[in-house]
Amino acid sequence: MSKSKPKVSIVKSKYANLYSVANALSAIGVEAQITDDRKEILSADSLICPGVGSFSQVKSYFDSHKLTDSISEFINTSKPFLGICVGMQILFEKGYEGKQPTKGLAFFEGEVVSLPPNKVSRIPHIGWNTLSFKPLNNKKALFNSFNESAEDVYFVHSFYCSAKNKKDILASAQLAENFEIPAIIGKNNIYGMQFHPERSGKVGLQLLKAFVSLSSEHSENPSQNIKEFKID
Amino acid sequence: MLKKRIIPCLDVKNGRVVKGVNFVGLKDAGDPVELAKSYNESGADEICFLDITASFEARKALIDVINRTATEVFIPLTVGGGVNRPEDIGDLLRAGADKVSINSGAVKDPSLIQQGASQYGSQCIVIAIDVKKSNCTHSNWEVFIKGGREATGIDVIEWAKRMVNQGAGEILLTSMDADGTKAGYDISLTSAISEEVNVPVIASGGAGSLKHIIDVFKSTKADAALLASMLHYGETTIPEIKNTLLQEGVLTRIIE
Repeated sequence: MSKSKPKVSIVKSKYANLYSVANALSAIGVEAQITDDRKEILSADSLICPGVGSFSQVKSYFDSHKLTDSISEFINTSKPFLGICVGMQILFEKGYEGKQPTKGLAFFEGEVVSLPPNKVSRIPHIGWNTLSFKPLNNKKALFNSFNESAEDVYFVHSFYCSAKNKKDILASAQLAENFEIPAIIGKNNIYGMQFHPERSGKVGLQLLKAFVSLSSEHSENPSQNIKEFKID
Repeated sequence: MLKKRIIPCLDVKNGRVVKGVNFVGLKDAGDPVELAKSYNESGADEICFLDITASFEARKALIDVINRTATEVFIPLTVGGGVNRPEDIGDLLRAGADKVSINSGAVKDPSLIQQGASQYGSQCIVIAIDVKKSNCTHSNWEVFIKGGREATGIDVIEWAKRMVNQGAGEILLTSMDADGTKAGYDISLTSAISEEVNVPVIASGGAGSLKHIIDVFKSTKADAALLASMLHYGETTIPEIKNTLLQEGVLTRIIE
């Protein structure tokens, strides 16, 4: 599938494990550019926004560095976007982590709230948990090859996305008998992963590869080649 | 559901791996990056580096080791040892650590955990607690610092709760009494702490057989088990541990 290499950018910020993501991409043959420059962000074929820290910290950093606008602008170009952890959470309408509720980018309906201590015995949710993929609507063929197998990925977070539209949830993870959270969300060109693909071993690298493949197909035929990605 | 984790711990000195028995008598057991890679391939859920020297020179060697590990190993990396200031936390995270474990530094400056958590998030702040049985505290377990050489008079249960309140996202609990004995984890200590707090607890010290690992998961609420010499000296392997746990009904992450 390799034609010209897609240009992948990573949103530069103080609140992210930038090099972990860049290292993981490099392991799958993608040299990503870490940038907070609007022009460079907009010229990328796909954009990854990692985030660690609290919703309010990350969002206010993005606001003060004009990243909120650049990210929104990028997403509106319909090119593939992936938010990781807090980078996914800020795509929702509002987040409650931090001193006061903070407005998000509102590409997804729903709020980011604390894991409920009455249901979840351990907070933060730290460790490997199993992705359970939802029956797919055909637009989301990206993760087709992951459907059959139950794959474990690495989570570390205390807040989760309470998504209003269940169809936005591509995969979930179970934290207790009666409690699950969105693990992968997706709508049009926008994806989010609550776990850390860059820290999820081989499975994580495969997921990143599947995402990056979108950018090489984006401008041509978005439905082809996607099924190539299997876990070997 | 969340899996129980197996974490190999590498004691690092001047950029090389060592493991002491009761923290003395160190032996060289190899290159940390190579060991981390091999543990990653065999199914480790996380890697822990503990820097047992903290001189300026040794620090640079450690940063280099973290850097190299982070480009080759794509599972979480926890690094501890000699973390005394918020800047130390930042240095390790920037080098590629995902979590930083803080031990003596938190006793010397009780605001360190809070500063670290507010600056970098609780998810990357691990409070490492070294514990010995003692008559001078309420629970009969006392917190020790400086690699177990110095008693603090602090009760371990109060300390664990206090650190969690200040923002520690995880507890790395080492029984100094059990460490190096290969007689099993300290079940009553691990049980007491994992009942008292709601953050994940990593049990450490004393593992000598597969049964010990099963016991700590079945008899306590520990979320992870830290292993050193058992793995470093090839007494068992991670696949063997995980298959045994699975047979015993303990959920772990199995990789093909």
